[in-house]
Amino acid sequence: MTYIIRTHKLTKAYKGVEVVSDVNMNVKKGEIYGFLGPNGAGKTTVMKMLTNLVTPTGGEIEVLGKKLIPSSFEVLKRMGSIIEYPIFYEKLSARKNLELHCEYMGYYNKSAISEALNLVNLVNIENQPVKEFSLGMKQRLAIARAIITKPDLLILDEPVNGLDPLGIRELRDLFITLSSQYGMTILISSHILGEIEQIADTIGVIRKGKLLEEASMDIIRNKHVEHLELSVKEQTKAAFVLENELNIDNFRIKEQDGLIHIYDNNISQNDIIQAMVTQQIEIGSITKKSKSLEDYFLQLIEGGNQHA
Amino acid sequence: MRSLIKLEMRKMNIGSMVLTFLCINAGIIGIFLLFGLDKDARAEFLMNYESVFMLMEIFIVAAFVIYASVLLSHMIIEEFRDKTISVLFMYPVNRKKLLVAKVLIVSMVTFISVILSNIIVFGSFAFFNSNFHYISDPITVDMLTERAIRTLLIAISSAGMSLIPLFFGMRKYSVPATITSSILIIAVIFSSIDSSTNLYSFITIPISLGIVGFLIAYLVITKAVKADF
Repeated sequence: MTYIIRTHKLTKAYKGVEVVSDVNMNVKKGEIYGFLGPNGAGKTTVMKMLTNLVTPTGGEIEVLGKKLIPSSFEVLKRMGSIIEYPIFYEKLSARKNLELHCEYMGYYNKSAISEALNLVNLVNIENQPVKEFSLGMKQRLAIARAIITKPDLLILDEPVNGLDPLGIRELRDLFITLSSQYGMTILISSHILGEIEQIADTIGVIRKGKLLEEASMDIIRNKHVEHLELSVKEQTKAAFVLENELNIDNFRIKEQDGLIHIYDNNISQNDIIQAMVTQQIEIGSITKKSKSLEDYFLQLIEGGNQHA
Repeated sequence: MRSLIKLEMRKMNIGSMVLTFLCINAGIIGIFLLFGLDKDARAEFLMNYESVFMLMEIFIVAAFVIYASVLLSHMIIEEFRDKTISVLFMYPVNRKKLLVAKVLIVSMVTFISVILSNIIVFGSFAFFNSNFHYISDPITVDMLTERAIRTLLIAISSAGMSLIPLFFGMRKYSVPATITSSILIIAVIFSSIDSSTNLYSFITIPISLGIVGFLIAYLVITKAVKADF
């Protein structure tokens, strides 16, 4: 397995306060890595460290097979990025901004500019100065700028901010195309799971500067999506049956609601009903609940806020 | 480095720079013509070549050092203030070189402007003098050679001096601080000690200020290269 980004105990502290602490991140070649976290979790700071805009106070970064040090800049040639919000020379036209970008990147394919503008659906406005653009248009232009040189690694910090739902879908498709056709590795951050759930191969969840979980979406889906909700009066008895008759130990009793949540995916509703009936336990209802990923991540993100 | 300078120039509006240069020169020539109209002013300012040269030097250096602060604001201070510098710093280019290119442009523009303006303004003065006879003494070759050497030194020192406002402007990425500081510097060095002497008349002062300017640019760049964005 080749890794495009690896960080080891990456830490950044401002005046002694750690905003990113001990982040070990692994982004595989060719994948779309969704970087999820609430506002102020440290996503942007991590991305700034990956692009060398911010120097870490601790830990190591390896990008595209090279160790990143404060003075390295060659590796930036193979990266495209949007950090924080779209920044341009506002007085210059969209095209001129992109031309300058290509020159600085050392990329001289003249047709690439029009191609990139077409990909993000910005046409006929390339000669307008950027200051006349709306936020959504600037965002599109920023994405065009990031992908124009067909980089190996694309770092996108909340790239769909300020876009309408249709635009979000367009860009989602674009990111999938870039990943599948050009083999780009994409690191994309968001504070809204729905935005990246459908495209990400791997998700990293960050909160208060700490990487809480990093796992492939497939595993997360299997692990957390479904459970059975069983409504019974005699919960203790039912629990005893589950444990001893059916050999299930992956369940949780919610006393105040009179419910039992069963997380074992291998057991069928029929088996449970049969076992309960045999033991003469009255079942109020049994339903299959699919807990959305959203809930799961909210729980993960808010987990630390509960003072138990 | 040359390609970096070229790229920087593409972001600038060369046309308006040339226009500014021409306006400044026209303004200075205009002032001399006004002096020529008034009898008292003519007696005080246009009595000999030394005083003409001194006035020329004050006007030209003052104008272009202040103009340089405008350029610094556009090319450096605003890039940091508007964060476009963070886009530049994500390019596969040495940060130091990026900033040195910017500073070099400002210095070079000042250097060239000071030299050209001296030639243009003095040329015009000589032309008007031949018509209106402000000064009847002939210009000697010695005078011109001495003047040429001083102009060269002044141009070099102005190139450095024009960078001093960076020190004030880069503290809070403030355009007003950059421009105000350049005006203050000019005001201090050109305040008269007596009618024919000011701080700038002693060649060591412009030269030391020039060196200070280059040092400031060096320090500002070293600091900016290490900063977080």
